[in-house]
Amino acid sequence: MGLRLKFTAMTKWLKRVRTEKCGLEKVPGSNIPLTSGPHTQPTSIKFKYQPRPRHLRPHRAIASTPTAKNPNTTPRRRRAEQEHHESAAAEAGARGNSLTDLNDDVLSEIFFRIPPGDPGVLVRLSVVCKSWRRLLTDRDFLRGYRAFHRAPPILGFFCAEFGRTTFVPTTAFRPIIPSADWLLCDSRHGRALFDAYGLPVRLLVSDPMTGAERLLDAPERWRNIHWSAPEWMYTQWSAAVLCAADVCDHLDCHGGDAFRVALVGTDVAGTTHAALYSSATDAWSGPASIDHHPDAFVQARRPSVLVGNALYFLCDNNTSIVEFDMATMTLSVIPSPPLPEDVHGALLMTAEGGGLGFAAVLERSNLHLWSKSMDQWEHLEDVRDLKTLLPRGSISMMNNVLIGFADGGVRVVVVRLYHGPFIVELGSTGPARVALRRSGIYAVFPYTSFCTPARIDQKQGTMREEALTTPSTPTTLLCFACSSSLARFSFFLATSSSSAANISSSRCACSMAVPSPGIFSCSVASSAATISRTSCLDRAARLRRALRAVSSSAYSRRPLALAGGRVGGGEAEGADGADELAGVAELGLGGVEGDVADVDDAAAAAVHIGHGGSGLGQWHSHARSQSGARRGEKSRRDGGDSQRARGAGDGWLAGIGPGPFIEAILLSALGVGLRFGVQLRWRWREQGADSDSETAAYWAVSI
Amino acid sequence: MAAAAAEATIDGGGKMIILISADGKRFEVTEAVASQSQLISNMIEDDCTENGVRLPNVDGDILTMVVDYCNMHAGDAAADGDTTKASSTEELKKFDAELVQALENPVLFKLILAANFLNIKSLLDMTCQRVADMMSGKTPEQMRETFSIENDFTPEEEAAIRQENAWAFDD
Repeated sequence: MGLRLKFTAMTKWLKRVRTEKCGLEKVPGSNIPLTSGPHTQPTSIKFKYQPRPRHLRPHRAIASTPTAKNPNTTPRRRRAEQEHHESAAAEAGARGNSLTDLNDDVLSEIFFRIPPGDPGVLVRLSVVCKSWRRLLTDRDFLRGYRAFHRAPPILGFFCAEFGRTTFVPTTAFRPIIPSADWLLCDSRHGRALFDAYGLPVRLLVSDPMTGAERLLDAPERWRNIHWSAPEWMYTQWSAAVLCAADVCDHLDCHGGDAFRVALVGTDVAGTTHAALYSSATDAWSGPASIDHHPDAFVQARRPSVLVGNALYFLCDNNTSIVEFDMATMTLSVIPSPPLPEDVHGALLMTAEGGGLGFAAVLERSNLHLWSKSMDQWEHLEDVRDLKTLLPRGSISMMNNVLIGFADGGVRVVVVRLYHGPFIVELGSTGPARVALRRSGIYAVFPYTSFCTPARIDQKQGTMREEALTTPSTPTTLLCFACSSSLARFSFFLATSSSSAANISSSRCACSMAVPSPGIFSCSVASSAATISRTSCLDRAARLRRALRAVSSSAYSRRPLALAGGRVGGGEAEGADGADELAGVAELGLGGVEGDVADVDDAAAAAVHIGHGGSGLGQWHSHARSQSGARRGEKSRRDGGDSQRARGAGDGWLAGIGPGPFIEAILLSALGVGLRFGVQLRWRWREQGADSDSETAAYWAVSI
Repeated sequence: MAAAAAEATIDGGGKMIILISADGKRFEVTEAVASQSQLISNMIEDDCTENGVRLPNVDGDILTMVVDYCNMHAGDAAADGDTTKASSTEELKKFDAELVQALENPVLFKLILAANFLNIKSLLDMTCQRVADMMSGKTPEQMRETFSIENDFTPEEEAAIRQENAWAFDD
């Protein structure tokens, strides 16, 4: 009995000893095969953490800690244990001198303590060395980080003005937002909900961190309602987006397909309507409505509060609240806490503990809070005088001063003043921070999320085919590139169509990560196509920087077959497709300094895209409607043939060895923002395999 | 039987545990002090401390610091109801802060390793937090320099990551 107990304890301990040792062994050089590709630098073998080449790593990176010893050997006897200890003792002195000597567990412990409110640190850490990047981009790390910090931080606020939306960051993080012209309706559970102003009413659910988005049509019924809210509100109802995943604590949900969108508004007759979209069924359910209720005019475009299965919307007079129970699809009206006559602002919020809360500014500047327990409102003792927190004299006679609430570890309310919105921390006596110096902001929606490299790397969306529409004006996709080791594609875009000058003056760049489908031995591939043109001049600076980085790097030299192309626009007419593309390739590349693949290659690359891409085929026809669609058809076919010939032999990827190449690219544009959907289909051949493997993926790209 | 025999050899009142560092130094500590380490606490529970606890990953200098730390904090877990607690907690915090601020990097890392191995949560917390604080506000170059880490990215790879997350590098 006692022996067995002892044995268990010993094995437990040995397990720990082994974990501790794991990753601290010397990695013999023979274990690291040379990676192919031109960027590989000779790796020096030292007593340090040596990351294995990506393709040799198992899927779960944390489990891949390289050890020279077989981790499965368990010394089972005390003697073995003693020997183990002695060898460890010899190493103990030499270890721990540098951070690279720490194993993944310990490094994670350190990285966990990076405050989530400063997301830039983790990103910068991921650039320090490969083993850190591997650790930080691992999903396990993200899980641990989330568990460590519990509440996601507030990364910024979406500020709604009349006719526009601005993101005011509170950290270094910058979101991917479709366009400033789209009006933000809500932000919750890692998602943002936009309304494309205009008819028919369309809504866009997007993930500001990864750029994944999904376009919805509002229910048919919705467009025939005469709303009570004035027309200048643009969006005359309130909306909410929420995660609908079965098992989710909603602390860090992202990009998932399971979401719901709720719309609630009151028409001129006083009837309140509600509709609920579920991504699971891809349909709107409802209609739910309550007829004329004297008080229930739901405020348009204001934040709602989610408690359990119900959404709460404040009504215009601040004295009633509309409750939308999504489980039963019923609407009801509940009273607000009793308020005196002079209310300077009221707001629904989440009470501490997760229930429904209410905040109001009474007596000019006193912030009162309530929480709802059962059917009763409970007034909280803690009344704050905003005068003491805000700059002197800034509290005025303004009404509706409360415009937003956020809970990101700290609970804050956003107060609107003449100068702009101020952020007031509940439970802190520190002065309020100014969020933005602009006065027209009437609603603020917080964006809370964890932002780790693993999360950012998920820049891929789940765009559906119906969201891809034919663009109206052309833009040139200058090139895209993928680098082997990071399995990442970068897009470089030029937005204008007609002249080289334009192309060099306004370009955009974006990039995305793709899951590595297998062994990437190809270094860089590039192609070109046309997408819809929109204005992105405001991002020109960012773009120029990106392009400078590209042109100064090996991206613009061999073996990158950099190609540009334009298949839309109708102005440039070549003798055949290949020539035209080649011509534009020169044009497009004019702005990028550096060596360029020869025109022949570029043409082949460009034609390569045309081949097999049905969506692009449409574009050809569309763009060539003036110059002759038939010729376009023919040239594409010819181009396709020539590509096949080249692809089979020494095509544009020749010299780089067998590797992935882009089979087809389908580009489109959505509305006004520079967003487009990309379908990439790529084939690759694993070393030693007989046949090619193929993968296809959709992305939504926002820049 | 064996367990019962081992029990009998140890003093009934203040049980002492002997910790043996990698380089053979021996430290005698009370059970209360030693059991701040979850690892040793588990071993005490399992009754396998009678021959001393060999800690092959921790060398003598570091173990001295760990034992000091544990001695300082031994009261923490034991006397929760104490009214003089507040002031002594403050003092302890100050002591901890000073301790961790004064450490050189290699010592700090060794201490982290030891805290992790021995599973002493508060010590691990404090030392890791110190390193994390050192990381904040630094560029990747400065981090490499501070922690003497070799950059094994190719310039292209690094440029790609930087360009993708340009917001994190804009100062």
